[in-house]
Amino acid sequence: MAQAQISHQPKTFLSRIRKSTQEAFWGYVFILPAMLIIIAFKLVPLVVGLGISFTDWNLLSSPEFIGLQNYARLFTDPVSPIVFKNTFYYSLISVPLNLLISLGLAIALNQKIKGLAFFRTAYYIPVVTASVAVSAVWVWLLSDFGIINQLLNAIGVASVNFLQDPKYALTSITLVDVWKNLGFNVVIFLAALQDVPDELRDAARVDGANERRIFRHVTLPLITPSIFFTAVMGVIGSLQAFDLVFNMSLKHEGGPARATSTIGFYIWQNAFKYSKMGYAAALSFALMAILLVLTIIQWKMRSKWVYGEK
Amino acid sequence: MSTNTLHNRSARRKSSMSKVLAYALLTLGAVVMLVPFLWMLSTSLKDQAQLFAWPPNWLPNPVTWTNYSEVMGKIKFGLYGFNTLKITLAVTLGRLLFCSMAGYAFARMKFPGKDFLFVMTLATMMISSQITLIPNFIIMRTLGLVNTHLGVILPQLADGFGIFLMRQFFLTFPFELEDAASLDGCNPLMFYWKILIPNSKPILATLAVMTFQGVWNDFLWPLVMLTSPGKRTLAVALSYLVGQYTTRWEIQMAGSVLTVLPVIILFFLLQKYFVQSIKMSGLKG
Amino acid sequence: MKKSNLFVLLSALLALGMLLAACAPAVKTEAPAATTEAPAAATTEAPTAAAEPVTIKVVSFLTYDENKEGAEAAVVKAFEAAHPEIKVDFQLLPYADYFTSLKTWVAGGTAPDVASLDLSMLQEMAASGSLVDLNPMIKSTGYDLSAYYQSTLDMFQNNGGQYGLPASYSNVVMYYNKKLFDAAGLPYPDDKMDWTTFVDTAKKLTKDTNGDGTIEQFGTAKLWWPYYMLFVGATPFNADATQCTLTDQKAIDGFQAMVDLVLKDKVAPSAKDLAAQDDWHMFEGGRIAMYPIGPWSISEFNDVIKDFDWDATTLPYGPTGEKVTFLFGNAYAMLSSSKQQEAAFTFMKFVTGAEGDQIRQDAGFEIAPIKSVAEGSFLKSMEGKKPANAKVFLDSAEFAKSVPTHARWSEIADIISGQLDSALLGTITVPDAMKAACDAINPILAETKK
Repeated sequence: MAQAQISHQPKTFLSRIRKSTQEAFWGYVFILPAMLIIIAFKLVPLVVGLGISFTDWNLLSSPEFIGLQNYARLFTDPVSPIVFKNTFYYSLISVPLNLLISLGLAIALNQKIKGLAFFRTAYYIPVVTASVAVSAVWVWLLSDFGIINQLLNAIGVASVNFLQDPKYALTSITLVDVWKNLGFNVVIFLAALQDVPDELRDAARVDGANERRIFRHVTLPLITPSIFFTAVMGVIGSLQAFDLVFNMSLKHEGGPARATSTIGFYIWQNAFKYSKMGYAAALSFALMAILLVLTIIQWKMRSKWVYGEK
Repeated sequence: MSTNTLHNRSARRKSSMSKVLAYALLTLGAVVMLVPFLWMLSTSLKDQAQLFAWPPNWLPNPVTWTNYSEVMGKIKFGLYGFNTLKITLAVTLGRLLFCSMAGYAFARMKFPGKDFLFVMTLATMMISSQITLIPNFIIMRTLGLVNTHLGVILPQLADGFGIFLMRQFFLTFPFELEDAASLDGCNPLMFYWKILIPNSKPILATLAVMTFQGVWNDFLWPLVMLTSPGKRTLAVALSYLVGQYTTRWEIQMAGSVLTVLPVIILFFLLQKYFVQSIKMSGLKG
Repeated sequence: MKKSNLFVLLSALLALGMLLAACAPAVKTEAPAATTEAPAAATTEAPTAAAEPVTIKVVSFLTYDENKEGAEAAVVKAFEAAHPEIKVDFQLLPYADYFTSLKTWVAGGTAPDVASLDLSMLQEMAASGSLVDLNPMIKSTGYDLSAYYQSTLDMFQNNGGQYGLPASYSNVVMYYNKKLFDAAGLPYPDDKMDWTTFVDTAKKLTKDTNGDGTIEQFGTAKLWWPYYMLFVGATPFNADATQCTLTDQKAIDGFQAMVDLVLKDKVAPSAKDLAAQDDWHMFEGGRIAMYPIGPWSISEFNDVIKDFDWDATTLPYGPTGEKVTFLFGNAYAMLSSSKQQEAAFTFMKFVTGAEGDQIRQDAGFEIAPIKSVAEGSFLKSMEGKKPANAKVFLDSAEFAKSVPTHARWSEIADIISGQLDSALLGTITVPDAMKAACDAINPILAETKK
């Protein structure tokens, strides 16, 4: 009915324009509001930030142009290799782990079982709880008197210094990150699983496929766009990790002995603690360069495995 | 036939076994997810004396509600909650609309500069917010929007995350529908509003909850932007509980519980939309 | 591709120009020039000022921990009543991210006229030239500084300039749990206690009370690390800040004393112990016998501690025979971008003076830097409260030292603190830790110099 009403509408000048031009027109119309916001409030500050990276600026007096010195410093600063290494470790553990567990959970939570609303909410609660509160609780839970060491002691294993020993501190925080952000991906995967039409699965079942085959050949291909999404966002997010590192590291100093300092944390330290905004910006753009390369690699490879991408 | 029923029975047993296993795993997982929150709740119900008990007690004994009355005396939950809700709802609605529109265009339309614009959108997520904080503040000052809720809302109305998320979901939207609609003379705007949006509830609900949660807890931007006490948000008000030398954890936790509760309730109410399937047949009819 | 590169470059330059322009108000002005300008500006504005009050913008984090927002607002209200010619746009901010917000506003061109600052914030801003040296104004208005404790004024000086007027101060004293001393049959500590006696006493009071192999009761707790440098008279760098001096034997001895408390004698809780319960709550729970802490503890400890009696004395002498405590404090300072310097100074004098200090002291947070207020009201307010020996806070002010400062102190402090954390874990010796710290600090000193 609605369609009948509008069927003659495009007979205006639009219909006379070539189809591709028409499509381009609609494309711009649809992206316009979002692009205005993105350009004005994300791109312009980013470009200003790029400008800052060529200056020496303590935020209190005027910035002073120093060319590429901040970028040269990246290679002489003894701390920068440590924070880059820590950050890659953080990312390499948290992204795949989060992806695998959340996908499994989403499949489990997509079933028709009792108490589903409760379970879904439970898995999402860590996401919504402020990092400060979550961190305080985990610092306690990981202490000698915390539940984890108590369990270890019960099976005869000596207590582990989860957050004070440089050997374990970063891994511990990384795992808390996985814990906190699991629900985020679970929700995305849950939504993705709804896009898999029951008809397709039923058809496969009629054809005698078992559940594993149905998952591999029907469900999995259809949720590859969201797997791609969570992988890209996971890399971007984890390489900028800051909140939990700040709140859980010893005295908020990214220690012990820089063991838990990530790039994001070091950027914050330089920007607002050490008043070296120029160097902080250079660090941020170095990280962005790495992220861009990684994202472009992921982007180029997507046509091989992501549904709907040509 | 008998083999068939046997087969069925074992399959049923197998599926009920797997259901039990799923329950056990889910429950275990839920406990792991909930323990820290429960510890927060428990701390918020303890008085100061119970905080230094050694060894620590898991449960408050006796349960004290004074932390809640104290924190409600210190924070105007009504006013700040209203401010926070206003900002959060505005950003959420804006992002749902703008990100879904842009996501649709990036997923399904061809136009010059598309790849460049999309990569640019992604790139804006790759720069630390610490670096863009001051430039953003200067822009807001130039626009005369410092100390206004609009100034807090405006720059957040669209973001790369939302656009990318929507794009990914629209990739799997059945192509045939679009073609059919266009044959019927439906322009893209009509298709977007009448077919795409009504049938994308799961992902819209997902983006809504994620945006809501992020903006609700946002701290630094509203702190820097809003200087009048009457315009404060909950997350900012909560930070006044952290002192220069000391922090009262039991009060802090009570405040955190009160702040996070609305988001949990919202999630609980919205979660059924996450799994609202696209009804293919309904669309065809 | 080439085109877009050019575009990015062009817009970067454009944006940088915009940024520079936007920062113009924050550009530092020479303090003496500013002071000569300010009265001139005031006189030209005088006719309008009579009709319409001058407005100054003030930001402060002085919330007294208990979030008694009313206290500082009351100080401001009292000022406005006394000075109807000046209106105050007052903003109370949380201490969390206070400095981040302030820097953003300064950089964004919306800097306040007056801001409350803690010691390290003030020193950093003074070093970068963003604060007004108050000395010329103090002289020209004949403001009498003798009402303040001299040490509280000294804290906020930099290169001979006075960059802030103190609003509150704290120093650290030694609390002790009388019940634990009685149970061990030990005499209470007094102000004569030397380091050896202190460590011995602490050892006797450190106990694994239930025999499970972990310590339940500690003799003492570790102080913030700069203390162990101060009490041997060591400094992080030489007088003109060109060379790191932490590898000097003095500094090493001082930090070794700190590490020994935790690692060798095990009389103070380690980072691991503190993760399970912090020393503050340990003392409240009767698990620490001698606890070094400042006056911000008074209110809560009086409310909460019911199971034992406690009192306070000065900190013990250090291993090299020096007696030192920390001095912390908060001040009001004037930003050099202020165009209302005269009004701002009038405000600062009032809120840090006797009247403002009185209101603040009555709210019970730190100690008033105005002698008459501290000696009158502080001690009076302590009557019937613990510690009975409240005078110790005032006595300690005599030998209190403030933490060393440097334009890049927060960076230097993080380096030292990080190395000491490793030493406290036993993964590195103190001399090696200090060598590593100096290796990182020397380049910073060299950079700052030029």
